[in-house]
Amino acid sequence: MLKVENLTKKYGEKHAVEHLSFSVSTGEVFGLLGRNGAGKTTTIKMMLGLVTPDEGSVMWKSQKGLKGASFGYLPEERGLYPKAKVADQLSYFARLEGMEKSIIKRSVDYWLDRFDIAMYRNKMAGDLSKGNQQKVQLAATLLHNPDLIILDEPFSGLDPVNTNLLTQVILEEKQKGKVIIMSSHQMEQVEKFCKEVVLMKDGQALLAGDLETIKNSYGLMYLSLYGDVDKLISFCQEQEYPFEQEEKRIIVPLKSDQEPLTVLTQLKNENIEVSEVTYLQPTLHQIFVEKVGS
Amino acid sequence: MNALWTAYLFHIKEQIRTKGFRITSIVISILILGYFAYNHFSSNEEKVLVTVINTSKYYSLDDKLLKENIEGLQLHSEQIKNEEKEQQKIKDQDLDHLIVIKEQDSVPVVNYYYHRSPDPTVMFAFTTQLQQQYLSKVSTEHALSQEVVTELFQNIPVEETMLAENNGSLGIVYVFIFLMYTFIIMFGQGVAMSITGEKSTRVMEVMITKIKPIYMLFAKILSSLTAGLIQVSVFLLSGYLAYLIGWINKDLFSIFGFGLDLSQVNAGLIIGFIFFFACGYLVYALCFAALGSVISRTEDLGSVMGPVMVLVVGALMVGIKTMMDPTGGLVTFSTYFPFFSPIVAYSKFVMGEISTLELLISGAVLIISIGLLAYAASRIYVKGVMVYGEKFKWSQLTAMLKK
Repeated sequence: MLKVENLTKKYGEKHAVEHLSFSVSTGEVFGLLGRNGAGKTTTIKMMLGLVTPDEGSVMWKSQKGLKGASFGYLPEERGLYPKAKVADQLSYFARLEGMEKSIIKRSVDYWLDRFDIAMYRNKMAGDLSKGNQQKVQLAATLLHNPDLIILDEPFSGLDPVNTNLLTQVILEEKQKGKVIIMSSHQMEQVEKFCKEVVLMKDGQALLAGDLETIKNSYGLMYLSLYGDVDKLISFCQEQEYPFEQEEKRIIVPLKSDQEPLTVLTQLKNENIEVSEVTYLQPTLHQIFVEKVGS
Repeated sequence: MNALWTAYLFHIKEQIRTKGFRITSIVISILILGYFAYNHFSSNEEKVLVTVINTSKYYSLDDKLLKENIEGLQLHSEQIKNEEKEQQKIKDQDLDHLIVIKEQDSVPVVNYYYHRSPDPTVMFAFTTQLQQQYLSKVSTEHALSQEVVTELFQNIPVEETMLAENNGSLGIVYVFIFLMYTFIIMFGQGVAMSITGEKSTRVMEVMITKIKPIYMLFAKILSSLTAGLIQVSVFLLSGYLAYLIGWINKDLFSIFGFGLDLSQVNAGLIIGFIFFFACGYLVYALCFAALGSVISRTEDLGSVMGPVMVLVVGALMVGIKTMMDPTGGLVTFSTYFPFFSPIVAYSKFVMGEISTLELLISGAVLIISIGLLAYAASRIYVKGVMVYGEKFKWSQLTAMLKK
């Protein structure tokens, strides 16, 4: 289990991170969210011991700091030796992690295959595309089978196919019981994995805790109506309901718990047929934009 | 230590694999072979073109004797009216020397024209003949006996004895200075470039979580040293190949005019060479490593390394001065100044101009300085590798040392 308590870092008068606390259990993915400059990377660097915190502590398996821990770190700014062969540098990273020679080859082969980049094993890393370099970097993060995985923007630079591939890999690692911390701007991905999140702004935690609880406690709900779009639009305009159109759906934001019943009654009175009605929670994306948008 | 060894092996492999390393090794080896081949094949064919204009009545030259004394001499006689034309030939480098012999009150007068620098061998051969003829003429005029003439021609015997202890020839000093300088320029700077490269490609952020920065620092310095020594070995092998082929005459072996007597090379010289060479490299490599770690872009390297480059050039200049004046004030100070002492102390050792006590003090100061530099460099490196984007200020170094 990873426990971060009261982590604080100031640069001059500006707080990069202010009294941040959270914990992540084994087999869980934790989402570190926020706009650029919110303090996510500083938090990660403090956890790794790359930046010394002014206050607070990081505990891993009841020990202070990550010294001696087996962890894999994917930094936000990708870094590989551009003039070294892919397989050579993966083997080098593995040796530095203390892996046995006999296991290294097997592990390198496995991850090159898993990320579908085995054909580039003897290529210079600098000659690969950005996406493939990203996959090499991910392989370097995972090849020593770390207990703690820290991924800073793991999906940036990946095409949809590779995004799906990485999604599968993260889910597999989660099932293996790893502790995973992920910072991302892609909220759809975060929603897929993360049980708990912290939403940061200017170094502070605006929202923190269980994602479902956050969503449930978030006031704004939505009603999704599927039917004759033209009639539904006319209805909303007449009744002065704000709405958004998503293909054949009309999404109506709700002001109170009573409002869905009112809307449905009005629709019945107007003889407007609706084939599907869904009561929607706000998406993480909507919460993110609402909370840190301006 | 295992991580240090792993990093050392990785970097050494990467350096040897680079195209630059291989191309430099091949090109310089070819140049070394070419240099010795040129010397070997051109030495017998070099011609010395001399035109003589002799307007005197009494004096004549023995062409055969001149050709014996001047190797490759091609002698040509001209008339006085063509003197200017011959001078022009020298300016156009179609002729090497013009000797104009005139007479003034029966005394031979020689005008010697040359392009840029006189050749003492040519001058000596001509003046000796004329001197002898003049002495012979004077002795005949004064009716001197044959015995007196013989005594007048008697050479004064000179017996040379060097009193200073000499551990080797200046050629060894020259090789040391040349190697030290090129090594620092090529491989010391390479350390800084490599570290800045790791920062600019951001691989440093990954590495810093896998290996202690101090191990990375020394893995880079030592791998560069090893790669450099491998390259130097390749150059020495190409020299040895030239020797095996027979392009090097070991009795006349010289490096750019400085005689290199290989028979004088002994264990002391080799141990001294290795010690001062390794120390000299470490002093500069540590400085380059520290400076390479505080900047984020390779473009900024030039401005940051300026002061260290001044010291490198200073060491070279003082090294040359040591060869000419090994006991001067500046040289004495430099014997204990760690940035200059590797070159100066070793040069003085080879020339026999340093006492054992001075040598020990110089070595001790050097080792202590390396220890202090290693401590400072590692402090700066650990902090510096995590600094990105900021414009480098020299005051940052002090702050990094204090923290």
